[in-house]
Amino acid sequence: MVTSIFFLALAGTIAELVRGQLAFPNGSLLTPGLYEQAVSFHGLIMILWFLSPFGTAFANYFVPTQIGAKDMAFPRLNAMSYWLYVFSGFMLVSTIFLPGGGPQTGWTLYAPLTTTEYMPQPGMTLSVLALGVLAVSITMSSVNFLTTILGTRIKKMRWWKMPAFSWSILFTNFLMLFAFPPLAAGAILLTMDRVFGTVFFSSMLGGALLWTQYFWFFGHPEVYVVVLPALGAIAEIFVTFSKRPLFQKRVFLIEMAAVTVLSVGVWIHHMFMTGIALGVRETFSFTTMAISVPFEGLVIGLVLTLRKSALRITTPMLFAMGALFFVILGGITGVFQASIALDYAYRGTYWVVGHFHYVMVGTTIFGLVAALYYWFPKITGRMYNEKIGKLTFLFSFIGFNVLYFPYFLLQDMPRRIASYAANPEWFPLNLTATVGALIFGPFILISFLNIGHSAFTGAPCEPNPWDAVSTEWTGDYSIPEPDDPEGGIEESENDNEPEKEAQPPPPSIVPSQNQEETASYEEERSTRTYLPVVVAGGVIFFLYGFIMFAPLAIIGLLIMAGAVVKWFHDDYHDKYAEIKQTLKEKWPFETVGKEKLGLWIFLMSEIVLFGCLISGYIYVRLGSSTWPLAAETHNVVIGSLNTVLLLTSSLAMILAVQAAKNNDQLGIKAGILGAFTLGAMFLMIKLSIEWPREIINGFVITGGLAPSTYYMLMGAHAIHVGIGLGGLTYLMAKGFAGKFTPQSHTALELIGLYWAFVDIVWIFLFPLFYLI
Amino acid sequence: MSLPVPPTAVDYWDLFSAFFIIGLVAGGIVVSAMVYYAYVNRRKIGRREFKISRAHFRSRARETVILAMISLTILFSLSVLSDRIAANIQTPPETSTSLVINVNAFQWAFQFIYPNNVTVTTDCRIPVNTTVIFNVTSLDVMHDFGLPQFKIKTDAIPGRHNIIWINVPSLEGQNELTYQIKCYELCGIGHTFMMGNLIVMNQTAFDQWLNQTAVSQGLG
Amino acid sequence: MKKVSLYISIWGLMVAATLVEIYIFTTSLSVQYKVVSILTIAIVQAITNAAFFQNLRYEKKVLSLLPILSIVVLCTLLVTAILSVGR
Repeated sequence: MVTSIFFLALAGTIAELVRGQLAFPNGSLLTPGLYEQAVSFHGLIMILWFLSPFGTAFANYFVPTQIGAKDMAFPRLNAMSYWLYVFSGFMLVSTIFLPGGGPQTGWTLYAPLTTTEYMPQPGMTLSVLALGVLAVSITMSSVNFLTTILGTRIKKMRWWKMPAFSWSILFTNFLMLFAFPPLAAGAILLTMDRVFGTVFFSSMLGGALLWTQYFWFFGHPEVYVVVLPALGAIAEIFVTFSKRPLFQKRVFLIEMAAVTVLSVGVWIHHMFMTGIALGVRETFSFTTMAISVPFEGLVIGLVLTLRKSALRITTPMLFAMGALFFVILGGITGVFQASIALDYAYRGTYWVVGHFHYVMVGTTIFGLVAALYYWFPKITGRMYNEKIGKLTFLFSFIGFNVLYFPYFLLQDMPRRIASYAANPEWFPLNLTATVGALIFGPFILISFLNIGHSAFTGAPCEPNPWDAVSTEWTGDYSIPEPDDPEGGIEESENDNEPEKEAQPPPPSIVPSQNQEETASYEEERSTRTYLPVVVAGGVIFFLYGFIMFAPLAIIGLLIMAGAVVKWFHDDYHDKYAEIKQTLKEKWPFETVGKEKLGLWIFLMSEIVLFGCLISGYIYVRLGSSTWPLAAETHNVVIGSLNTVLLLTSSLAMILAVQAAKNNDQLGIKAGILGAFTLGAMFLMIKLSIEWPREIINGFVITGGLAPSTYYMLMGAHAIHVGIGLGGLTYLMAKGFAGKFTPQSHTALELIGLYWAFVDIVWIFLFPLFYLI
Repeated sequence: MSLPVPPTAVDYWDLFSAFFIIGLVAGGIVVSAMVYYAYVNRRKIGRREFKISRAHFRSRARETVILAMISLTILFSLSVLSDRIAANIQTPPETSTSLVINVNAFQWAFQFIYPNNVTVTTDCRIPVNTTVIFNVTSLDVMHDFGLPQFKIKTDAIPGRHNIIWINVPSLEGQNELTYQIKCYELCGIGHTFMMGNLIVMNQTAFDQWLNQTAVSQGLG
Repeated sequence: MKKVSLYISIWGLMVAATLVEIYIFTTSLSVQYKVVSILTIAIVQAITNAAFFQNLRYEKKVLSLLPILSIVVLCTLLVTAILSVGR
C-alpha cells in the first residue's frame, strides 16, 4: 500500500507538470520530448503501478480475513509478486535517467513508434521489460488470490455469503489472469524486435494492428481490473454506513459477473478508426453498449441501498458517494464512445481523456481512498481526523470536477500535444483545468497525509467503530447474511451485539495488532523468508545487465539461480509444508488440493499466453501471400522425432505418478529419469542440430516474419521445456532420496501436470510449423 | 466570417444530441436519487439506534430484467443509428466526379497526392461541392488524419489504406474556406506540431491552382 | 496394472496420430483440406493428452472448466484477429 502511494505521488507530480505545461497555449515548462515522456510515465505508473496495486493491497489484507483464511494461499509467492512489482517500478522510473530517456509513446506504446527505428533509446527496452516483469508479478498474484478465494474459505463461508469486496477481488483476479498474458505476449514480441531484430512490429503485416490487438485485448479488461475492487469497496462502505443490506446482493453479484465476462469481448472499441471491417466494429459496438447495462444495474443497486437507510455521513461514505457520482458521469460518457460514428469525432481527443479520468481517477481513487478511511481503524486501531477528512473530500471533489469536466468541452483538442498555439480558443478551458489540478492534487495529498499522521497520533478506538456486520470487522463467520430472508438480524434498540445463539467463539481480532500475529500460525512454520526478495532482485539485475551492461546480467543470473536452488532446498526439507486441513468450504473444488488448484489456475494463464503468441503467428501468416511453405524451411523428420520424444517423455512422467500411487519406488525413479532424459534429448536435438542447420541455411532470426514467428514460438516453448527440466531435476533429487509416498507426492504430480502442458503446446507447434 | 458547419458535423451533433438527452435524463435520475436518499436519510455519527432491519425482501428480479431490457433496446437502437452514419462516413457515394486524394502521413506532416501526381505537403486544397475521397496511409509510424470541424478522422497505418470522404456544399459567399487538419495519434516529438489546413475553393480557382502547381512541379 | 497399460495405449494412439498427420502432409490434397484435418487431429491429441496424462478424466469435472474457460477467452481473440486480417 505504501509503495503504491509512493507511485501515486510520483505520477501525480508528473501530472501537475503536464497541466502546468498545458495551462498556456505555448507553455515552456516542458519540451515536447519531456512532455511526451511525462504523459507516458504518468499513464503507465498510475494505471499499472498505482491503481491496481492499491486495490490489491486492500485485497491482500482483507480477503483472507473476510473469508476466514489464515493468510493467502501461497505466502512466499505473495512476497515474490510484491518484490517483482516494486523492482519493476524502479526499473521503469529509472529509464528517465538513462541516455535518451524513457518511453515517449504514451502508455499505449503503439507500434511502430516503439520499434528501435523510431525510438532507439535503451530506456524504451527496459520499460517494456519492466512491463513484462509486472505481468509476471500480477499473474503470480492472481493465481494466489484465486486459489485463496476458491479453495481456502472457512467452513460455512458459502458463495452467496461471501462479502461483496471479496467477490469483486475474485472477478478482478480472473480478469487479470486472462488480461496480462496478452500484454506479456506483446512485450515479448516487442522486446524480441528491439533486442533480437525480429520484425513483428516493423513489418507491414504485423505492425501497428498486431500491437493494438494485443494491447487492447489486455487493455480493456485491465480497466475493469482497476475499477472492480473500488466498486467492491464502495459496496461494503454503502452497506455499513447506511445500515442496510446491499440491494439484491445476488443480482449485484450476477451483474458484476456479467461485467467481468463481457469485458473480454469489447476491446475493438479502442480500435474503431483502424479501418478493420465494419461488421467486426459493429459487433463490438453492440457488446460495448451491452456492457453498460449490468454496470447500470450495479449503480442502481448501490443507490437503492440508500433507500430507507440510516445514513451516517462520514468521510468514507462521502468519498464513496463521490466515487459513485463519478462512475455515473464517466460511464455515460463512455456510452457516447461506444458509438462508432461519435467515435470518429472523439478518437485521440480530450473527450476520451475526460471519460477515463472520471472513471479511473474519480471512481477508483475516490473509491479506494474511501476504503482507506473505512478500513483505517481496522488496520491501525486508531481513528483518523474526521474534520480534515471531510474537508479534503469537499475540495478534492470540487477540484476534480474543475480539472476534468473541461476535458469534455475540449472535444477537438488532440491528446498528447505539448502546446496548442494554433488554437488559442482552447486557452480558457485549459487554464481552468490547471486551476482544478492545483486544487485536486494538493487536497488528495492532504487526505493521505491525514491518514498517515493519524496512523501515529490518532485516538485509539474500539474494534468495530462503524458497527459493521461484515466478517472482517466482527470476526464472526457464522453470522447469517442480513439479506438472507431466513436469517435476518432482528431490529433492536439496546445493545450493539446482534442476537446470537450458541456461536463458536470468534478468533480474536485485536485491531492494533498485525493480522499475521493474530492468526493461529504454527510458530515454527512461519513463512518468513528472504528468498523472494533475492529472486526478484536477481531478475532485475539480469534484465538490466542484458540491456545495458553484460556482467550485471551474469550476476543477476547467479543470484536468481542461487535463490531458486535454496527455495527448492526449503521445499525438499518441507520447511513450509502446510498441515492438511479438512474443514474448508471449497465447493466446487472439494477434492482438489490447494497446490493443484493453484497450478491449474497458473496453467490457464499459460494457455492464454501461448494462445496469444500462436494467434499472432496465425494473424500475420493469414495476411501474407508470400509465406514460405513448411517443407522448404523445416525438417519434418527432426520435428517428428522430437514430437515422439516429448510424447514418450510425457508417458514416462505419468507412469512415475502412477508408480508413486502404488508405492513403486523403482518405477518413480525410472519414470522421472526417463522423462528428464527424453526432454533433455528434445532440447539438445533442437538447439544443437536443428537450429544450427537452419541458421546455416539462411533461416536466421532477422530474416523476416517467418523466422521471427518460428524462433519466437519455438524459443518460448524451449524456455518452458528448460524450466520443466529444472523442475524434473528437483524431482530426481527428491525421488532418488525416496521421498515420494502414496500420500505425499504433490510435487511429482504438479510438475507432471506442467510437463504435460508443455507437451500439449508442442502438439500444436509441430503441425503449425512443420506441416503447414 | 464564420465557417459553415460541414454536413458530417451536422450528423454528428444530431447524434450527439440524442445521446446527450438520454444520458442526461438517465444520469440525472440516478444522481438525483442518490442525493435525495442521502439527504432524506442522513443521521449524525454517534447515534446507533438503527439496526439492519429484518429482510422483508420480495425479489425484484422482474423489475431488474425489465429495466435491463429497456436499456438494452435504447442502447442498441443508438448503436444501429450510429452504425448507419459510420458506414456513410467511410463509404463515398458513387459519383463520376469524385476527387481522390492520397494522403500520406509521415513524421510530422501530411502529404497530399492528387490524381495527376501533384504532391503538396501540409495544406490541402479542394474544390467546393465535390465528393473528395481521402485515401489515408502512413509512411512510417501510426498517425491519425483528422478534420476536427468535420468531426471525422481516420487512422493512418503503414501498410493499410483507410478511406473517408467529405463534400463541402457551398462557399457561403466567401472566397475560400479554411478548415483545420490535425494529427490525432501520438507519433513522436513532432506530434504537437503536426497540423495543416484544408482550403476549399471554387472549382475554377481550384483547377487553376492544380494546373499551375503541376507545371511548377514539372508534370506538365 | 490396468492404468499403466491404459497410459501406454494412449501413448501409442498419440504417436499413431502424429504419423497420420505426417502422412496427410505428404499427400497432395488441397491446402485447406490438409490444414483442417491436421489441426483437427492436433486438437484431438491435445484433448487426449489433457484428459489422460493430466488426469483430467479422473478429477472432478469442474476442474476441467478452468482450461476450457481459457480456451474460450482465447478464441475470442483468435476469431477477431482472423476477421480483421486484410485490407
